[in-house]
Amino acid sequence: MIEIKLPEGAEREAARQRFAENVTSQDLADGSVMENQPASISASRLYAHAMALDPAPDGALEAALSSNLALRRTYREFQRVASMYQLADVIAASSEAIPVRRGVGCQISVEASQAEADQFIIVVELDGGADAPAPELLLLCDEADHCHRFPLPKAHRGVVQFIVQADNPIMTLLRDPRTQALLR
Amino acid sequence: MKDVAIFALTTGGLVQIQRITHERAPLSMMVVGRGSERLSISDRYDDFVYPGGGPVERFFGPFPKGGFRLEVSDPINSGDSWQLAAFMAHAVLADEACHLCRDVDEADTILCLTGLVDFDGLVGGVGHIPEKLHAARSKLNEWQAAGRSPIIVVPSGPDHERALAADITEGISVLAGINVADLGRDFGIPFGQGEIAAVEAVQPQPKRRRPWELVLMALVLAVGAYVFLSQPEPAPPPVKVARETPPPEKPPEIKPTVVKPPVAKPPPVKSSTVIPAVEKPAIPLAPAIKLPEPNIQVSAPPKPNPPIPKARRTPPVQELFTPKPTIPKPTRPKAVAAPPTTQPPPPPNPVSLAVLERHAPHGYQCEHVYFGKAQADVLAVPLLGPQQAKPSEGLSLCGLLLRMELGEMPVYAMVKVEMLQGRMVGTRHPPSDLSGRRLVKGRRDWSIDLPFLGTGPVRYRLTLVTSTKPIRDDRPADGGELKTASLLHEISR
Repeated sequence: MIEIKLPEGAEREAARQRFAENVTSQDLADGSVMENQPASISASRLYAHAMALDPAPDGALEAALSSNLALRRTYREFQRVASMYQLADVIAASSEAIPVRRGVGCQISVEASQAEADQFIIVVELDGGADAPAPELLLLCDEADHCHRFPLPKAHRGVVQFIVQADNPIMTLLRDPRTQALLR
Repeated sequence: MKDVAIFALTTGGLVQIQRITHERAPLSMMVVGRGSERLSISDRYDDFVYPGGGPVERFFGPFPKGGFRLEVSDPINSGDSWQLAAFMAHAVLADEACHLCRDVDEADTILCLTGLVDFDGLVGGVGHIPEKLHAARSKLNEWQAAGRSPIIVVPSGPDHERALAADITEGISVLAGINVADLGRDFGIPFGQGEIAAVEAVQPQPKRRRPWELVLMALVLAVGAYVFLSQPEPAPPPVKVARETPPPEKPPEIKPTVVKPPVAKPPPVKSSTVIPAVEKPAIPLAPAIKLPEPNIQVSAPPKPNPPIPKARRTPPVQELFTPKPTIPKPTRPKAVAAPPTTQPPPPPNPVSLAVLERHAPHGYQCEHVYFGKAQADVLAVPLLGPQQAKPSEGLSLCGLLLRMELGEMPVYAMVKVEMLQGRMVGTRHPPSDLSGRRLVKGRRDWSIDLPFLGTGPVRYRLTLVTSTKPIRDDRPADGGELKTASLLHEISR
């Protein structure tokens, strides 16, 4: 019996990177890229899409992002560099609880609504209060490097707050401790 | 348990405040119904309830950590006129004996409110009252037809006057809100006593005077009254009378005797004691002032008026809040009741007209007066003839105060300004109760501004028409008799 020890941490990240590179090189070698990808995505196009707060719909780029891990990772890196707040990874206390995400200068928490059982309130609190630069976009990047964008309402008294229904995708992402949160 | 339905009067119609819930999230929010869309006006609402920011926490706090979720029936996109309704909804929430109900059919009381509420609980004006009442008309009529008696609360002052002038279904009460503590007491929704006391302490109240101040003031009044009574007629040049004051409901009477008691016998009270009997006559400026004789007497005033029948009183709000079956039909406070038909018709009122100049006080410009930054100095304009006032002039002349003395008997009165030369601001908008359609009595003032630009001469004729019957199209209804007084006045700047 062969025992395979799964790598962790940096080793795991490095393995994922190698895997992504291998897949890309194989796709290039056997021509599947040309068959499956309707159009190539330039770096500038990807960058412009990543930097826009409200990007115009780009079906080709989104299709490429959903199928191309390297492209997704590049996209995620663009977002990380451009973000004003990065929140640290969290450890879930239980399957039900939604962990509080803390970062330098801010934190994100989720409160269950006392009025409506199927609603939650997402609260982004900035340590600098009303004087702190207010983010306009919440990015939640999952384990597969898919980054989901959620436009934020205007901050008030250093707090950004909005209500979501329980079945909103943001709740799934926030429940997952492996999701990375970025604020731009 | 008293069920109260609360609505905010908005230009888009009545917006019900359906529910208020405390949430753990820090910001207070306004949402539509049970939905999840946070209205953009939520930040203003948060400021309104946030500790140290608004009156809600001051009156009903301290609250546990977190904010409120206020649910409204329809979106409110701008403005702050929802504050009074939101405040009363919080008052209901804080009172265990009351319940904020969503279903209007279950409500014992329906309140429709508009107004600002400041940190001290004073109700501030909002404007757009006619539009708001018009937008609410269908629902108000619907409730009225169903035997409900909604109560409308608007800020006192111009907003209340405009509400009274609006065409509202008979039987709907229109109340003037001055401060929330009084409203809460009237509606049977008591606030925390300590907070109310704190707020009342900062209400604008007459200054308490010490006994020696009262004696001195009484002495000055007595001398002034003596000088005034001993003069055969007012001096020809304009006499500086006073700073502009809002028109009182009842014309102040000049009674020099009222100042005697403190002179002869100072009240033996400590300085901290309230002295109602002595203070009251000294508070209004008007009795202490040398008022000009009315410019024009329309009818002979020889006979003293018979006892004046008391005007129909608006039922106290407390009475309106008794359980449904016992709610007395609220009377509309907009009209003063006609005298009883069983009594003989009273003698005609001595109706008079006067013109007063409004000057910018020393160190101020007219724009300060126009925008309420300074109170105008008011000078009486003497008469040149029976229907002509002395021309006015002066660089500091900002406007006029047209004063109508209607006497103690309620009459229908209509006033208008006919421009013969030049122009003035606001001549087409006389006081709403002087439209000839409502019974009025006492003194009415009409403030008119002179144009900031265009300094040419201005000539106009002020006409006051009174009748015992409503006046429509310059004619009294049902063959009533018209009495007319007019005054010609010229201004050169």
